Amino acid sequence: MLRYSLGRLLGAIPTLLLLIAFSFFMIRAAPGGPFSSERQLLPEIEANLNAAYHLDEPLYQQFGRYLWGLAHFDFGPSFQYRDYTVTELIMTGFPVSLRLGGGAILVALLFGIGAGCFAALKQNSVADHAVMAVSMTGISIPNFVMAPLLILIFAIYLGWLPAGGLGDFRSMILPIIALALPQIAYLARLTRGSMIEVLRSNFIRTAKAQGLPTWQIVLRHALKPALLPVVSYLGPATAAVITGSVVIEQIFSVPGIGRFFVTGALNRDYTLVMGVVVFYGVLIIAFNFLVDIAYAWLDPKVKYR
Amino acid sequence: MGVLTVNGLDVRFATQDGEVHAVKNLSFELAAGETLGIVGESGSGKSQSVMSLLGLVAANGRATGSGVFEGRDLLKLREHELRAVRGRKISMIFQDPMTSLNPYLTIADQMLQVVHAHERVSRTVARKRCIEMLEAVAIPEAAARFDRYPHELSGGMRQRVMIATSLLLGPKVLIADEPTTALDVTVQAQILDLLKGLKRRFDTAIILITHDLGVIAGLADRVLVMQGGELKEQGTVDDIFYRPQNDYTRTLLAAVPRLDSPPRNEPLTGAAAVVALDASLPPVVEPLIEATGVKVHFPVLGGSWWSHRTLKAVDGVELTLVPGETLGIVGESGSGKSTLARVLLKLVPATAGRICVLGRDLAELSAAQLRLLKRDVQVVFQDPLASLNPRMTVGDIVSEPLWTHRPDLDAAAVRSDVVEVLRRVGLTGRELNRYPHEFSGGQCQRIGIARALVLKPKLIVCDEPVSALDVSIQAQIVNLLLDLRREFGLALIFIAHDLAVVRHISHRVLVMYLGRVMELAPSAHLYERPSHPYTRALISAVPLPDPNAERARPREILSGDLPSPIDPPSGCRFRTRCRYAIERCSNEVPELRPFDRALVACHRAEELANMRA
Amino acid sequence: MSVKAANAGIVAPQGRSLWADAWGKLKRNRAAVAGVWIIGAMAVFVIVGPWFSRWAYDFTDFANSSAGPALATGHIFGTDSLGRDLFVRTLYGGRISLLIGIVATAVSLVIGVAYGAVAGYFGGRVDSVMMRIVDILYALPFMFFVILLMVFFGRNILLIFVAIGAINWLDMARIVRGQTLSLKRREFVEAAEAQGVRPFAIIRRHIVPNLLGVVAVYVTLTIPQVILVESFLSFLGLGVQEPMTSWGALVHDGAVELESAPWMLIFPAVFLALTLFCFNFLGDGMRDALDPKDR
Repeated sequence: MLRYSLGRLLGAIPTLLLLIAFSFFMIRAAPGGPFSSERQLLPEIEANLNAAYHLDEPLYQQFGRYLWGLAHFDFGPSFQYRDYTVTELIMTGFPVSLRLGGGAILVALLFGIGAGCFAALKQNSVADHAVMAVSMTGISIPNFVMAPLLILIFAIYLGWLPAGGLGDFRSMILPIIALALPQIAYLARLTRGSMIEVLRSNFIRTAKAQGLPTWQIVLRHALKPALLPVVSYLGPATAAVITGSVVIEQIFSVPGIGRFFVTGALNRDYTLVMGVVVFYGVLIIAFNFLVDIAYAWLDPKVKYR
Repeated sequence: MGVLTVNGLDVRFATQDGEVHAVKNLSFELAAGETLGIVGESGSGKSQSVMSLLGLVAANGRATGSGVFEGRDLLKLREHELRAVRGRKISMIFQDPMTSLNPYLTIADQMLQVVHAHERVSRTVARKRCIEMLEAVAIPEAAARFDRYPHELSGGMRQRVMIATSLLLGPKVLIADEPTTALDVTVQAQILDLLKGLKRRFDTAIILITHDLGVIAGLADRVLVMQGGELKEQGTVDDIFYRPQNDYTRTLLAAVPRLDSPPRNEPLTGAAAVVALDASLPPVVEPLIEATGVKVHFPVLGGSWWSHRTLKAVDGVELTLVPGETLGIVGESGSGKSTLARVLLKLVPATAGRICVLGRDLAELSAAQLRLLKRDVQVVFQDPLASLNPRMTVGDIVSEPLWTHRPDLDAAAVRSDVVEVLRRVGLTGRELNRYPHEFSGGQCQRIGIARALVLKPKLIVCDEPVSALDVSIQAQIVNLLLDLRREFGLALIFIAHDLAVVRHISHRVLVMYLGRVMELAPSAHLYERPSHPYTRALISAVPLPDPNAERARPREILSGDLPSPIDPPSGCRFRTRCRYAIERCSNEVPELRPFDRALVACHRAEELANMRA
Repeated sequence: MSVKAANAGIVAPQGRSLWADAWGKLKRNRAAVAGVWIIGAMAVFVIVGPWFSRWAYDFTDFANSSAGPALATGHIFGTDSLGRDLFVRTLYGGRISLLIGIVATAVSLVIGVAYGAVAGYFGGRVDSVMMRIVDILYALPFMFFVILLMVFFGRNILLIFVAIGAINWLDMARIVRGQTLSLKRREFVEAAEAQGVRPFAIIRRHIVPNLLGVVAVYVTLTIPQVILVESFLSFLGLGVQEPMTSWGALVHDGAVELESAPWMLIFPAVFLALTLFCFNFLGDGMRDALDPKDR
């Protein structure tokens, strides 16, 4: 088990390096620099600014400098928000984004898995078809379509909930729901399919023949193997939630990291954009790693080799 | 009044293709403590009938009739009432022990759940009972194994665990649905022996469902014969085997290949005759196949990329095959027989050794030369349906060898050849435009044989060609092969795990264990006077479809399990399970040497022969 | 007539192929059939519809800007903030969205199938290396890169095709590789090898026909994913350039004007959701029809 974890960890490193390198060189390769879109600067001033931010050095040197900084958790200064470093910006935005994203994943897991199990147990009944139809809708309606609709219905017409912004937990409800919906739908379908498959296994037939009650068969025999594909899916699910949060934060005016990304991209704020991409990238890679380990731990054939 | 009385049981399934009538008006009685065997081929309804009694049929099944147990009709019981019966009063074990246990839970967890579901006892008491039961089914180190996961146990041990779990609560009836079909012959013998012992000790009535008449002969008191959902005949085991009344029963008994019946006597000619008399003689003509020192090692994946473990599937085999000969290769799982077949065809590369086919060294052939060679060496595979491309028509499938090797033939000529060979294997020739899934298993296997035959090869390798077929169909296919052999002068390599089938068709038999040859002997000789301890155990383990003979036989039951092919025992591979092993056996690998008209790899061959004499 | 001629002239009845079976099963799936009809209708609509419209999609009519749907004015879906007819814009956006869906899917199909088939067929080292690369790429937040690409290199429609296609090929490659690997182990492929059939003929006759089913299912399920990605980009303002529009861009415009002109959001959103719905149902139906026992 330990060997497996180490193997996986080693495998994650090239991914990380590739991520950083790719982002770095792509951004540098783009036309325009952080100072070119603003008002026309005198050449000497521009040269001075470039020197101050090390933008005149050869690329590989800038890359090395950046890697060194990363090792110290220093993403560099923001070009756009002159008074702040990228690290500071990310740290202000992250807790908000975390609440949003974390909340969305938890909600998705709870409702998605629950709905999926329910549908699997009542396979081919009306309830099953209803759950599947609703989840199909969840997959087919993008969350950036759902979000404004939710605002329209719940905030504007009904006035029950605030339309986002930063406030108490009530303002988080709509954004979390909007972000979670596609994942709930996907998880419901995945869990249902997996559970149905497991319930057809021979060992479930054995458990039934041994006279075990249905609830026990489902919870203690079927649930664990049925959830394995769900665990595997958590990696891509997190990535999807993170990606979706960029848009959701914009629609609901949530002051998280997402908006930094968008404005940074438009303003050619290299370090800020890099910071966000690397930060999110590391999160995704780390999460995938944890998911791999969790999967291996749950499957006794891997655990006790 | 028996313990279980079934009357007019009728089971139907509603499917997309119409209604399937699985069980038709079945009635029988099970007396207390008796063993009732239900025998039938696939589709006979034997499993569905008992599953319906316990309410275990699929959702689209309907059962009518009555099954009275302890004064109540099982078919009329509600789900929670049935639950109280399942596992406690009537328990069931299934065919495949590999998949019948939950791989994600420990053995302890699964057994304890069964106890706690039916009785209120403390955990300690329950644990004690479980471990005692595991010891009763002869699981070594029961207490330690109790907390392990199923995948850490071998197939035979898992089946024992299943048996133990089913007996935990002292049921009145134990239903065993093909309990040994998925197990190796020697392991099957162990399990059957165990069941006999338990029968005496626990006085449980057993319903034994199987297609194997030998198993029935050894274990059952009374027998039901079923076909197509109907009960064809019932009676005591002696009545059924010695005085069968029904035609179907007679056909079934006639079709079963038996170890004890007199072998077919075909006049042998040519080189085959020579080797069939004495397997240790060198071939008198140029052999079709000459293989020496063949090894096939596979690297084992898993673990890390720095470990160098290999699976030694074939670890030093030599064999020769002369024209017109049929060589039978037998062995259990892990013996390497299938791998050997593949390496002879170069489907798998040999790690070491020299293989000459039709006089050409396989290792030196170019791709084009190899292709040319394949014209004369063809294969028939185990799973009839899986060996045919589901998206090609039968005509195309059988034409493919012609397209590959005879591009000179035009379409009409190809078609003509294909129709002719289809007729030759017992089909009509009008199957050309139909697809494999529209045919039965036996018919698909005929198509596979037609495909192998269309180029008129010199040698056909048959890899378990009849294992997946029903007994009556097996006999047909084997007869077909015998006819074809006679007509075309084919040499055959016949690989099987069923010794009785191999006996009838082979001139010589090669016995493999863990990648090495244990014995190579003329067919008749092998079965009458086996020299190697493993061969003796193998033959002893095959159940005979003859109740008196089966019950009277002395048994040589192997202990223990098959060692891992990744880490085989030193010296003689078989020594860990051999009751005659001495120190020399672990130090020195026995050579395959001539002894008494056979080739035997055993240090003590002479000694043991003298002991028996 | 000689025996040979008689044999060659034999009359053999037609059998029931697996494709026919699957087709029958699909036809019985009402949701999938409905999906096909709707997609068909949608396609016809978006291609032909704008020809019959009174206005061009980029014709601005400031006098009637932000007007609600009204039969009287002829703007049955209303107009947007620049006075452009929403109906024709929705249809036109549909053209772009569907076009992107199909072309980008084609891109990922070609790359994915080629990559996956090579990795699967050759196996061993080649497969390990190729799949390792896929694993690494899979872990990267692709969406971010695509966004960066769009921002820095302009919103070229060709670039959009390639970029979106480049996201999805990974899934296709994995599926195709998995299928190829399992097909290679199937007995009928082994039988062909044992007969001496040439590798290329094996791929052509045995592997490809058995891959088609799975590939067809995934293509049908990839199209909605691609349309979704494009809509996402457009929603962020990074998709097709004005005045060209797509459903995602229309939703973006509509979301901005949500309180004052909800029809700007609703109509394109409904079209988008309906199309995605239908493709998903169709893909699901195809997956059910091409039974597991086939794979």
